[in-house]
Amino acid sequence: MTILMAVYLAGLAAGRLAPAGYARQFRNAPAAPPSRQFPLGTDELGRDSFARLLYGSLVSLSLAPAAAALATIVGAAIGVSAGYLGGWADICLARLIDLFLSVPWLFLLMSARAALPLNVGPLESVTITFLLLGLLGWAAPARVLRAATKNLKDQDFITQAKARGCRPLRVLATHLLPNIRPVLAAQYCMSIPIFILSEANLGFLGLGVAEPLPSWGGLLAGLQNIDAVVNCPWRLAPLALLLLVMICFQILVPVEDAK
Amino acid sequence: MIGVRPSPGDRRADYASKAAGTESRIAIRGPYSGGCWVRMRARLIHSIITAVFTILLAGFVTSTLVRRAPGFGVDEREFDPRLSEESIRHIREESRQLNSGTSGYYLQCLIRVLHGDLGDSLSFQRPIVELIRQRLPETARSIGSGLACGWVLGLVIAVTAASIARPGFDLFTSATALLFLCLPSSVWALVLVLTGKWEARSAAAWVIAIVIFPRVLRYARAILATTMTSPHVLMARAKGLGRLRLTWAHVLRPAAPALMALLGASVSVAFGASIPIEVICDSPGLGQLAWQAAMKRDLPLLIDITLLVSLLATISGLAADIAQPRLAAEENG
Repeated sequence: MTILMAVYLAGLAAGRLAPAGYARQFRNAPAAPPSRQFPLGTDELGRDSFARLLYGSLVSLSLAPAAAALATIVGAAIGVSAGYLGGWADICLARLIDLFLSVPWLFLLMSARAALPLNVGPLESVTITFLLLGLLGWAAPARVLRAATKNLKDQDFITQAKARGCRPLRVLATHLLPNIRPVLAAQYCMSIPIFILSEANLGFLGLGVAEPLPSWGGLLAGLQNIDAVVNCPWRLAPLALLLLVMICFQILVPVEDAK
Repeated sequence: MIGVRPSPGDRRADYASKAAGTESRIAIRGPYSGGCWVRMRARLIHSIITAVFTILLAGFVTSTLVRRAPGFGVDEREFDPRLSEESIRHIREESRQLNSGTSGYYLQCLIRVLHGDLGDSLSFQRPIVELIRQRLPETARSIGSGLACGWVLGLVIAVTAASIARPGFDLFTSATALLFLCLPSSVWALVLVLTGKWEARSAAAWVIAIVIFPRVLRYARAILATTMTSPHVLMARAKGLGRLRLTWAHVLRPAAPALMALLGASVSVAFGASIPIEVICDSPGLGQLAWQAAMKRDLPLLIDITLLVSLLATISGLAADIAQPRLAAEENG
């Protein structure tokens, strides 16, 4: 947790730690090695790699939790409704969950991303990428929350609350939701590393966050220049940081299925 | 049973532990005990209906996606400066009639698919069926070999860890699985391309194995650890059954239904991972074709590939679902 917080705080302090910014091009220093001015050197366009790494970490570590929150909220709305209402509503919503789970995750993301305009600005691309992650990644939390709600629905305290005349919304708000809060929290925490890896894969494929805004996916895509990586091993810094952050997440919450 | 001497080679101990194991397994797998074939048939029919419904629904959702995507139905001839306003209006009217509402479009697609016609690719200017037929074997080969390698590796390590039960080895396997789960499949593909001169097909298969093996290892280890502490296993161990026989007959066989479910899920994971892997390893399969379609915004081709992949993943899940009760029934005798 300390390491994760340190990486996130470093991202927040990017403006102070790397005042050059992520987009400024030092045209007289393209592909420069590490120095006092550029701790991780520069890329082919002369942009400060350290600044790009900090801003990229900030983008990925801010938006993946936001997308995970959206996915968990949508998943909770659908899963809890299905589990609590039962009957036809449950059957229909369960089929919807099955439908989203039947399509391999990256195919689903790529199809939805390709259906939207590809030539968009950096901010729009960030919004689209993380909204898609949030809006398409709800199925797995929904399945778990549906099962948890179904288990809870038949418990004695719920029956008693209903018998005492509690309205469905009150049963949901005061009896069901507080009891599924640990499941919700677990699903939220499990979604974050999955979304970070998904963004990295999308960025690698050129369908993630648009240049010049950096993200871990975009930074990893730079590793495809094999000669540059072999000659300048410090370019592996984004990979090392991603590995470190993912190990921290895995230790905090073991990812059951990284999609 | 109390009087049986717990010596490793004693056949009576083996029989007794078998009987005890069968009893406990029946108790564990209650839903399939007695009249399990009737339940199995009902479950099979339910699974098939669910799969067919899911595929039809997926078709509707994807055709809606294509129909409602920005730029759908725009004819390139509309931008030809030589054409008059009237001609352009005529072309627009033509394409409007051709691409009716969403439900009409879905019905048209469905009828075409039933006749084996998936239409033409916008970017490749070739029939989609031909493109898929060309690329599918490559993906099938790499996914098949990758799954086989990943499963064998994961299962062997998980079984070894479960049977020797050493904390040090356990920690090592957990750390290995964790490390492999921490990086996206695209990075593993890049690592393999960087580290060796692999043939595209074998590189793709190896990366799929790398993606699958930690998941198999982690799940299988958890399943086997649970089975290892079952009463029938403890009894068989107390009676001195050999480690190999204990693992095969009393741990792996009862765990087979759960492992089958994992096999079904791993096919879907392998298909998902195949996109970046085939792109980076330059393996001409379905994943690479889907990526090319996405980059050129060839939605009909991309959607057809996605539907085909979903169909294959659903079928594999269904097969695993069917195999589970059969295995359980065999176990229950």
